Amino acid sequence: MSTTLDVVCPGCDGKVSVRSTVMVTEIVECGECRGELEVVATAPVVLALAPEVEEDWGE
Amino acid sequence: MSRLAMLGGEPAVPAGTPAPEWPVVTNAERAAVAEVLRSGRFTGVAAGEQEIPALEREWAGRVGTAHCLAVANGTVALSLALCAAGVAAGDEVIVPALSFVGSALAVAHLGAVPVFADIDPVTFNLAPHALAAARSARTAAVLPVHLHGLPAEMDEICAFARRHGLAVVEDAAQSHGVAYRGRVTGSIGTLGAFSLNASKNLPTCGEGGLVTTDDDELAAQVGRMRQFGEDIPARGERPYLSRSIGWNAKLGAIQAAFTRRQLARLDEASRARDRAVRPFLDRVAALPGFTVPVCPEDREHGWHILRFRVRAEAFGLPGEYAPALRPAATRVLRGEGVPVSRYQSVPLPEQPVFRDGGVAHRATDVSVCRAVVDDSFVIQRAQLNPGTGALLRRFADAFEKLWANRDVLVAMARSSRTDAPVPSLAHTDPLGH
Repeated sequence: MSTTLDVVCPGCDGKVSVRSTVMVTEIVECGECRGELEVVATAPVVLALAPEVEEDWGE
Repeated sequence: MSRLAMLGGEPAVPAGTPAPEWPVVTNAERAAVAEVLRSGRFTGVAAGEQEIPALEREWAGRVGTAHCLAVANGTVALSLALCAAGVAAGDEVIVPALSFVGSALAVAHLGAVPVFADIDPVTFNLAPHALAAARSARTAAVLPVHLHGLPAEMDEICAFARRHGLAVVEDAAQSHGVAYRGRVTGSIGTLGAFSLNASKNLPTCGEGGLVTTDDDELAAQVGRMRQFGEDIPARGERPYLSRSIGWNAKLGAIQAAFTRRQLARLDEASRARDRAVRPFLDRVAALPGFTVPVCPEDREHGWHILRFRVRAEAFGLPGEYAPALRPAATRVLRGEGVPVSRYQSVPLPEQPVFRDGGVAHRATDVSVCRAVVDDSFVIQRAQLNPGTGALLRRFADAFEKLWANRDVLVAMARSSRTDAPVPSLAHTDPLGH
C-alpha cells in the first residue's frame, strides 16, 4: 500500500508530499513554488532541481 | 558542508558563467577567411590557391614528416591512409574498442574488417598485450588511437607490427602536436591521420582532416585518392585521367586558411592548457572517489578530453555499483555547472552498426573497455580554451563539493539498482533540512 512522505523542496525549502512508492527519474511538482523536481534517490527519497548545464560533445 | 546545487545550494560554477569559447576566433582567422572569399580561389585545384599547400607544408613541418595531404575530414583521412597502406576488402585492421565510431567506420568503408581489441584501464589506449589475440592471417594493419590526446604505446605497437609485417596508421584525431618519446604523433607509424573538426585542439571552421607520412609513394596515393584518382600537375592543363578509384575528399581553402591561423597559436595554447589542466586534475586526484587522466613522463598529453573513473569502493560501495555512481556523479556535477558527459556509451563492437547491422567485424575480449565505459565520464571542450584556468578551479570546487556530499550519491546509486534495499521511511531528508 502506498503512503506519502514529506520531502524538502530543494527550490524553496517547502514540503513536497510524494508517494512512498515513488521511482527514480519520476518528476514531481512542488505545491508551493511550482518547481518541477526529479526523484534522484528513493532510499531515502531525494528530490533534485533540473540540471541547467547542457553537455558538450565531440568526435 | 555546502549544499549541492541540485538540492538548492549555490552552484560551484555561478549561473550565467559563459561557456569558454572554442575554437577561439580572432581577427587573424577573420582576415584570412575574408581574403579567400575575396580571391575566389576556394579549392585546391583553383589556379594560384596557396592556403591549402601552405597548411600542408606547415603541418608536415610541425609533425616532422616529409608529406602532409589536406583532406575533407578525419574519418576520410583514416580511410585514405589505410587504403594507401594497402588495406583492401576482406583485410582485417586492429582497432581499439574505445574510440569514436569513425575509427571503425573508416575501416568498414574499405570493405575491410575492424577487429576490436581491449584498452588499458589507465591510459584508455589500445593495450599492446591485446594485439596478439586480435591478429589473424588476414590482419593487414593496426590502427592505434591517441585517445583524448594521450599518445598510445607506439614503440610496442610498432614492434608488433614490424614482427608481423603490418602497417600502422595512427588515428591522431585528438592529438595534434603531441610528443611521444621525442617524436610527434602522426610521424611514428606508416601514416598518420588527423581531424580538424571544429571541436579539435587544431580546429577548422567546420570539417577537415590531414594525412601525414614520410613515404613519397604513399603520399602520392593519398593525393590521388582525394582527387577522383587523378594526378593533378603542379602547373599546366588538367589531364582528366583517373588512375584509380578515388574519392572527392579535398579540404577547402577557407578551412585551410582558418586552420593555419589556429596552427600559429597551437603550441602556445597547448602549453597554457597544460598549465591549467594539471592543477585541476591534482585537486580531483586528491579525492579518493575518482581516478583522473594520467600523463606518463615519456610523452605529452593534449588534454583533448578529460576522462574520470568512479571508484565505488571509495564511496563505501561494492565495485558493481560504479555504473550506478557514474550517472549520479554526472547529475550532481552538471547541477554544479560542470558540463560532464559520456563520450562513447558502448564499446565499439556493441555499436548497433556492428552488433545488429551485419557489418563485418570481429571482437576479442573487451571487458576493460566495457568497465571504463560503464564507470567513467568526461569533460570535453570546456578545457580547450587556454584561458580556462579560473573555470577549472570552479570545476575542482564542484568535485570537492560532490565528495563532501557523497552520501547523496550513495543514496542515488543504491536507488537506481533493482536490487536496492527497500526505502527507509524514517529518513526522507539526507541533508537534515
